[in-house]
Amino acid sequence: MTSRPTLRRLLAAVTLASAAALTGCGSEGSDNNATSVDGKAATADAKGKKFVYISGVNDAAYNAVYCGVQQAAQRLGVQVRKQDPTEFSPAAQTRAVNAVIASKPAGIVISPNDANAMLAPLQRAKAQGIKVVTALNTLNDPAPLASSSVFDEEAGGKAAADYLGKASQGKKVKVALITFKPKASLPADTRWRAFEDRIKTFPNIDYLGAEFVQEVAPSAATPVMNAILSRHPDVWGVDVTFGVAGQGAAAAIDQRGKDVKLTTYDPGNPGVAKALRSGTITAAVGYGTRKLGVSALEQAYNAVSGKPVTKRITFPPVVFTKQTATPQAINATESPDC
Amino acid sequence: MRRVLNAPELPVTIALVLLLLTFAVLRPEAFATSENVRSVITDSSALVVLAMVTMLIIVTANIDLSIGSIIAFCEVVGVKAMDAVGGGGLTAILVGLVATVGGGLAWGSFNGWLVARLNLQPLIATLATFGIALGAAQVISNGNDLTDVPAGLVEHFGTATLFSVPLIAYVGVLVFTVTAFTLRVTRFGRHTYAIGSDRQAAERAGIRVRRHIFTVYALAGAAYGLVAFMNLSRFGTTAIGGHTADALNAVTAVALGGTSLFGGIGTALGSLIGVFIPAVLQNGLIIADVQPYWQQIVVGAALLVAIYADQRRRARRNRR
Repeated sequence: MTSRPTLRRLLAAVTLASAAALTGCGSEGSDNNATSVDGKAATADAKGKKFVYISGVNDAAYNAVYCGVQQAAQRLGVQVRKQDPTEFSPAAQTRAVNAVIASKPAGIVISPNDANAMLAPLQRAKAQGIKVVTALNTLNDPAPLASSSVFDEEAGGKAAADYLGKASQGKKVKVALITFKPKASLPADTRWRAFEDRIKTFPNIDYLGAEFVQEVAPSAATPVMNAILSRHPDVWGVDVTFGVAGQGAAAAIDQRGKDVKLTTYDPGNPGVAKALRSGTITAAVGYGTRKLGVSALEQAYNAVSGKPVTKRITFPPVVFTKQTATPQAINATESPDC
Repeated sequence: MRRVLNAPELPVTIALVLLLLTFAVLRPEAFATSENVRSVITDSSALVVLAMVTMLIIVTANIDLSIGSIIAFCEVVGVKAMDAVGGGGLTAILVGLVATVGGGLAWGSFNGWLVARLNLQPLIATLATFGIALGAAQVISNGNDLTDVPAGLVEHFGTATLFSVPLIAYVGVLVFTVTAFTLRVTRFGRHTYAIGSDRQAAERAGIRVRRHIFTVYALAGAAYGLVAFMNLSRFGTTAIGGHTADALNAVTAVALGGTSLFGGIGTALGSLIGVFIPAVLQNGLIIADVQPYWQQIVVGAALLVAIYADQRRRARRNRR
């Protein structure tokens, strides 16, 4: 009698047992704050309760939101941890949501990766009695949400256009724009359209149109900016709809020794903040990313403790320039390092 | 004359010349300026380095998909190393260079070990490395791009020029020259062609094929590290998420340049020209105010023409 069938059965049993144990244990990911959940039902007070922030993916913008979430959590006396999807997709985020639901937190703060696809998983969360709040991005159908804290991207694009418009002081100047390939990023598209609509209201500004970048890397934006500089050596201003590309455009401008007013976004990106302080980037539109996290957690806390909740909070843009982009200012509201 | 006509680089050279002429005629004052030419060359320098070593790998009838991730990893490791030394002076910068090239060499050797020693299929093995290296980069950097690059590096190398030509461009030229020389003149180059042409025959002729392939991958890795260092010095930041298309761009350049993906055929000059076709297209189309979407269509079509030409050449060769 060979031992192989027995071994195989043993292996199967061990696998099943581990799967059961893991399912029971619930979530993946590291627990930054050791939590021991108080099983007693404390309805009127959310102190000590568990909250989870589900990001879009592990990157600077979401880390900045989480900084705000942690800040508010400390102040309110609740436990919070972060769950990062493995990639920026609704499928990966749904897996994260399911894992988090199984760990039964009091509230979830989430930055949904898709305004439609994430509706169903969040409805499931709500059905389990978990309060759901969005930060940074939100759903088209707010049914399962207690509250949402979002950027006003339109106002951001407009703010960049207004900055350049004002700085042009009525002189006839040329302004270009660099953005991400269309339809690939909603924030970039919104900023682009809003900028275009607004810049056309300045009669002295000759708007040269949009050029596109294929990758989220400075090296992708540099050749595009170089081509614009070759085509229009007298270009006076350029708006770049995301900070990483802004850095690339700045590198091209520097290399050619030109003086071009460069407006971009994401001052929380340390490279952008550095370029702001050195002057290679003229202005960067921020939104107080951390404030989103603070606001979202506060609303989640209110929802859990039965206090009044504000359904939708929109954050206006803040334009950072060389003078205002101090490390303190950036860290207070934009930086992902906390 | 017959040698010129049969040269694998001929079609792509003609294509590049045609492109240059077209754009120069359309927009002489914008396209055909020394400033524009200089910036196109500088912006293409990193890809030139990548194309040279990618060509070497492909000539041996292998492939490397992990390029972008290794570069991302080396960028991160480079910044961490320079940070650890501190001070932002020459020592820190040199340590950064050693860290990036060393890190790349390590990953390249890993690839070489997988393909040459373990005999794994290069496509899948390097696909795996693509994921592992990127994950490692994200673990080390905690997901955020690092920007503590010494200002001296950016000032004295990344944006510095010699005789009005950026130093970065010289690196590309240097790697091109070394590669061309190696392939044309050295035994190493001849062995590279032999292995790609007919691996078994190369083995029987006494060439240490496995060791050679390992070396090619390792050298390529070191080159990826060099590119990471070039990127850090140009932009002062890592770009962990921005290298996903690097391998495709390198392979495209190499294929456009007349290198056969089956191995055995390819030249440094061809790959160099292959780098410039998409670069000149992008630059020219923007300058000519044409929708840049056309760039992808044209490059794709050119790629088809290139591999068709290679197919015809191989068919002719097999008929003899």
